[in-house]
Amino acid sequence: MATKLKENLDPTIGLPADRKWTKQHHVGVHEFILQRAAKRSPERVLKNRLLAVRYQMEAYLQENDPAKRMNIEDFVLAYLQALNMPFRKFALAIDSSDGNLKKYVTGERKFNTDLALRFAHFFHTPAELWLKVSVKNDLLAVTSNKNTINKYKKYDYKKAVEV
Amino acid sequence: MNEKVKILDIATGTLVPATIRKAKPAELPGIQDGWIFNLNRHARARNTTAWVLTADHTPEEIEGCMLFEWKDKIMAYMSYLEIAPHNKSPHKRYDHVAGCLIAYAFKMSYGAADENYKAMLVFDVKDEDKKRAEKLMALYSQVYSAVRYGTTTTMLIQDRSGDQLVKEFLERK
Repeated sequence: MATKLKENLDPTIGLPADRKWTKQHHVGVHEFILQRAAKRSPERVLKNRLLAVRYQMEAYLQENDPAKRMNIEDFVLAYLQALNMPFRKFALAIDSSDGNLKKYVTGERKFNTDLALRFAHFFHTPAELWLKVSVKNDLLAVTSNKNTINKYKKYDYKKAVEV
Repeated sequence: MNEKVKILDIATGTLVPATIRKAKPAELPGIQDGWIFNLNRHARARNTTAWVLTADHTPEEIEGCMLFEWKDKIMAYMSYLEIAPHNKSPHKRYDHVAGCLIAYAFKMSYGAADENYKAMLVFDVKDEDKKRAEKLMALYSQVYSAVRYGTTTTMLIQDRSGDQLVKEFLERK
C-alpha cells in the first residue's frame, strides 16, 4: 500500500504563501507535542538526551569554523549531564581515576584508542567518533599556527621524485 | 555542515553518493524554475535555514530542498520540502531524496533546547487540493509514521519513527 502511494505521489511539504498558523493553532501544536512528550518512557527520554549529544558530536566533525572548537571534555560533560552522573563516578566506572582521566579529556595527555573504546562502550557510541573529535582538534591546533604549517611545506613528493 | 547520504538512481537501480548541505537563499530555486514553492524567498524567513541535496557527481544540480525553522526557538519545524521537478513522477531521476531530507530535519530536532521538543519534527502538508492533501497525509503516515494533529494539515514525526528514518536514509551503508 505504502509503495503504491509512494509511486503516485511526490512529497510536497509547506503551507501556501497566503496561509499562516493562527495563534490558536500555534498553541494547539505546542500542547499536542507536550502531551505526547509526557507519555514518553524514562528510557526514551534518556535515549533522546544521549542521541542529542551524539548528533552534536557528528555535527561538530562537519563544522569548519575553528572558532566553534569543542573538546572531548565538552562532550563527556554533556553525556554525563544527560546521565546525571558525576565525573568521578564515570572515571571509576571505566577503571580510571578522576585526576588521571581529566588530563586525557582536557588534552593535557594524548587521547588514545583505549580510552575511545572505553567511552564508546560506556556511552553506546562508535569509538571512531571519539577518535575523530580528537584528531580534528589535534589538526586544528597545528593548522591554526602559521609557523607550524610552514614547517610541513617542505615535505612534498615532487621534491623527492622526478616525474 | 554536510551529511553524506545515498539516493537511488532510477535508471540504473543503484545507490549513488549524495550530500545534504546548507544553502544560501540566492542559490535556491523558485516558481520561475519550475518548482512549486518560491524557496529562494521563503528561505529568508526568520530562524530558517535552507538545506539542499545534491548528487556528488553533479553538485551544481539541486535534487531536493528543505527549509528548517526553529519555531518559538524550541519547536523543530520543517517549513518547506520539495523535490526537483526532474525527480517527480512519472519520469523521476532519483528516489529517496525526500526521505533523506526529512530524516535530516528530524535529526536536527534533537538540537531542541527543551527536552520535550527533542526528537519531534513538525511540518504541514500542502493543502490547496484537499483530496491530494489527504492522500499525502496518508502517505506520510504510512511511509514516515507521521501523526496528524487533529484534522489539520499539521503532522508530527516523533522518537522511534524518526530514528528509523535516520537509520534508513542517513545511515545506509
